[in-house]
Amino acid sequence: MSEHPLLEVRGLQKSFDVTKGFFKKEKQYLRAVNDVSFTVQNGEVLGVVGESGCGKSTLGNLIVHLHEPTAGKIVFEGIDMSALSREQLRRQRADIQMIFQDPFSSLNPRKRVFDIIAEPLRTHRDLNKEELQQEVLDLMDLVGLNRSFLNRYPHEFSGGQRQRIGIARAIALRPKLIICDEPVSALDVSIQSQILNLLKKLQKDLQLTYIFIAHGLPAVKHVSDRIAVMYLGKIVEWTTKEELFTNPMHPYTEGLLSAIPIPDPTKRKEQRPLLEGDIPNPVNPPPGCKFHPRCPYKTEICMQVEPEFTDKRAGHFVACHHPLGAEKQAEKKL
Amino acid sequence: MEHALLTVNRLKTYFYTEAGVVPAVDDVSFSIQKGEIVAIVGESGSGKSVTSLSVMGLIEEPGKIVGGEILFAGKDLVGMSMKKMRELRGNQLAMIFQEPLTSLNPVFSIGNQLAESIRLHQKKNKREARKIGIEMLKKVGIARPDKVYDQHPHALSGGMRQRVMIAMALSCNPQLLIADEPTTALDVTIQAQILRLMKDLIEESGTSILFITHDLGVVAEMADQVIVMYGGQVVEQADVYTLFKEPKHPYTKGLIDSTPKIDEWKEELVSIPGTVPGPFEFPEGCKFADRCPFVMDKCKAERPTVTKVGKGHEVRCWLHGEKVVDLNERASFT
Amino acid sequence: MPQPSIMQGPARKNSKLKRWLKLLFRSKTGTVGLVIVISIVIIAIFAPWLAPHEPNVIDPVNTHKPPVWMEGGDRENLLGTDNLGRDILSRIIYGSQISLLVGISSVVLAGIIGILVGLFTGYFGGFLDTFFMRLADSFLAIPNILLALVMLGVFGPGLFTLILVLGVTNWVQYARIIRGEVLSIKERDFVRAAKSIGVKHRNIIFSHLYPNVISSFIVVATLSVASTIILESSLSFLGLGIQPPQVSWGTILSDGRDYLATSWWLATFPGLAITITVLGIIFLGDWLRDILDPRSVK
Repeated sequence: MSEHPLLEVRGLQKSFDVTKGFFKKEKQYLRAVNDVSFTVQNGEVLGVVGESGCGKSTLGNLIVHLHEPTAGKIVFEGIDMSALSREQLRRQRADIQMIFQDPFSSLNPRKRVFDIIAEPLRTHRDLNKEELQQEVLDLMDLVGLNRSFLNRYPHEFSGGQRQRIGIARAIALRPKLIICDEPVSALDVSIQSQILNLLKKLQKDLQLTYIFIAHGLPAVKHVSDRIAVMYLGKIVEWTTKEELFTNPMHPYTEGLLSAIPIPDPTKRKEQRPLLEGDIPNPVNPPPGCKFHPRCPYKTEICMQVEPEFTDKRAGHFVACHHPLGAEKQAEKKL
Repeated sequence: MEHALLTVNRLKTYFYTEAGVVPAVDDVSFSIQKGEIVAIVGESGSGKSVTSLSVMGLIEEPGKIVGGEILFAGKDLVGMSMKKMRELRGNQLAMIFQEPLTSLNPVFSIGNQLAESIRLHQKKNKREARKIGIEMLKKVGIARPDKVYDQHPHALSGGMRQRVMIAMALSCNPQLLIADEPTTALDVTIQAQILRLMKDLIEESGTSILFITHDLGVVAEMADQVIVMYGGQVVEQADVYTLFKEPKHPYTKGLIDSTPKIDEWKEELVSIPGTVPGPFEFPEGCKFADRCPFVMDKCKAERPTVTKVGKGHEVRCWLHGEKVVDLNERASFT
Repeated sequence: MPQPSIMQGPARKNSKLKRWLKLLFRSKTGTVGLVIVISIVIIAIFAPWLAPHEPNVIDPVNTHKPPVWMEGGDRENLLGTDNLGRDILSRIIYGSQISLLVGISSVVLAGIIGILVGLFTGYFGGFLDTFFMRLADSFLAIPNILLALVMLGVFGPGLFTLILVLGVTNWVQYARIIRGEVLSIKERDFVRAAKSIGVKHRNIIFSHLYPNVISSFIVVATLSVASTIILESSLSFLGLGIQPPQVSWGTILSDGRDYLATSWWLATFPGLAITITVLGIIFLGDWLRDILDPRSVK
């Protein structure tokens, strides 16, 4: 068992046909996920960060098998998921669960809390009425929901409580991997940290493995062990959390970091460099390094040759012709 | 003291819903000086958006301004005729919203909509309006403005659209710009660009901004004055440096502490317990009483009045009765 | 037993009933609708006891007798008589049986077909979807009445063919509405959640999608009970619907059409009966939609 990583993603691709108009001959494809590879070890939290159009949500959907990959492999516990039959896959789903971004659309408005949390248990386990109720109540305790809410409908709850219901549903089967798809970005600030603390606590107590998707670094900072930064369908940087925050090597990561507003007026960053330009349309990505139109350090080569995703420093993978660390050190010497 | 550009005095905006009366804005007072950026911070249901809509005269059934005054350049906007209000909006008062796509009409070109407001308020002919319009687009940092002028909203990215909205809002040199979460729907790197753009533009024109946001990071970057709202009331207001250094309301303190900081490593994030109550669930006395770590008997019984705790620093909290308490020295949220 | 109080059955049912009643009495139109519909159902069931006369007894002496409050009317025939001297009130009372039966059961039949087609095509898409939607298009391209005529011509007129025909011709509108709803709901996260849990397609369709689309069906269905009753009357008028001696509101209405100028009551009273029934069903439908939505009462 322990020889395999829990999850291994190899050369994963997903293209969507976005051809507009019925009679156009030339098909247009959006490469939402473009040749992505990484591994997740048991008990680890991988944060996946990127802005809109970077493919992070598609990646999550591919792993829970809500989309079929166009190419590449998803290997879970050493087993290639594309080789599974439909029924095997359905059973497999018990091991990979998802927590959704929008707590208002992720709960069926016509179902009671009990039925929502009980659904995965009813689907995969054979419990009698008392056992089922006991399980659901235990789950509610675990995520900090009052037991008296059992027969209420989702609309009676605030966003934070709804997200707790969604979390209870996701952990009900004690899955081996949970995809958290921006689980706090729709919540109020004062509630976000509650949910993040809860997710971290559950991860520790139940030894869960997360892939934690977010659009900003602050959200993944607390829970993640490793962070993957995505840009236009590709992972551009992948390393441990500490390394990423202290020594970002990709210029995009650096830009993401410096764009975060700092909640301290004495540290206003009037003079800090900001990334220029817009995120390109993913249907027509630029040639060469996809980041080059916005990159302050670009050279001739960046416009023509796509950089390889390689290990630049022990366990620090970057896809960049001019990774930052080297230059920084050179500057320091000067 | 200089005459303020906008003075909101004991404003009350109530919503008469089927389920009961919701005091969405309940006795709110503040003022904005010329050239100043004032931020209103709050979570969902705090009344921050309703406050801004009240100023714009955009409160619709079943909402109604039931008390107080809104003095803008010496005139009371409450009870002003629809016609006069319309003249004021777009001319001296402008507003930008969170989702620029819904504020732009999809069937008209950018130029068409931009020119419309210029022609309406500045009495220019079509060619002049086009010239001014393209000039404005250039000013808000849009590359190839003459091309974008003829494009339709859906062809632009979110950041570009918000730039167009800002161009439209500023095209008539308003004295006050109300920005309701203008960057919430944008990616971080784009948010940083837009914030900087807004700051640069108003420095040039001397426009005041009323900035509505839930993000204290953005407040710290942008604001001169800060108003913190909770449950339809102002719980604290101060200049930005004082507010972040010495918050006096436990809610403000909680918000600041729970905002993620990129350079801080903690085992557990600070959070405010409980949830933001629904419109009819606020406690009798202080609206924050049931989430407050410093709650006293008095807080549960009586709604706090406003206490002046420093120069321009006001707080609605019973803690600071006889002497001002330093919240930074008290262990509070965990 | 842990926490027995939370899940006890009777308490749950009781509160449900309470909620329904609370919602019913809060909505005045709902109450009115319920009263109308219940009254008409009672009238239909007890028609033989309630009707003062036999519906088909001809009285050549008392033809075109006006209602009781007009000159020439009497208490014997409260709403007057028709061109053959038959008592209009009795005919309307008996007619309610057929009209309700045809109106409601054909809508239910059309609804069952339409909901199933809409749910499955919307959820699965693909070939199934294309096939049924093209089929639906061709149904729409042919006027309902023509289609009904052809089918009745083939199968021969009669009560059950009529129900069948009206049901089969009307499923298209439901299928389209339900399919549209399904297309938007299946993109919602709770459906994705159910898929990622591994819930079987059948259960996703019936326990997640169905409860969320049923309210739009009810709105359309209540409205089309009306048009179905009228369609039935047109078919009967053409001689392809209800055959004498059976009576429906549609047949009374079409019998009376020729005499509108001289004896207005012949067509007016069955028309009024249709209107009141339809209003009652619509009001009731509004309330039904409310009780099916858990968000409507706290």
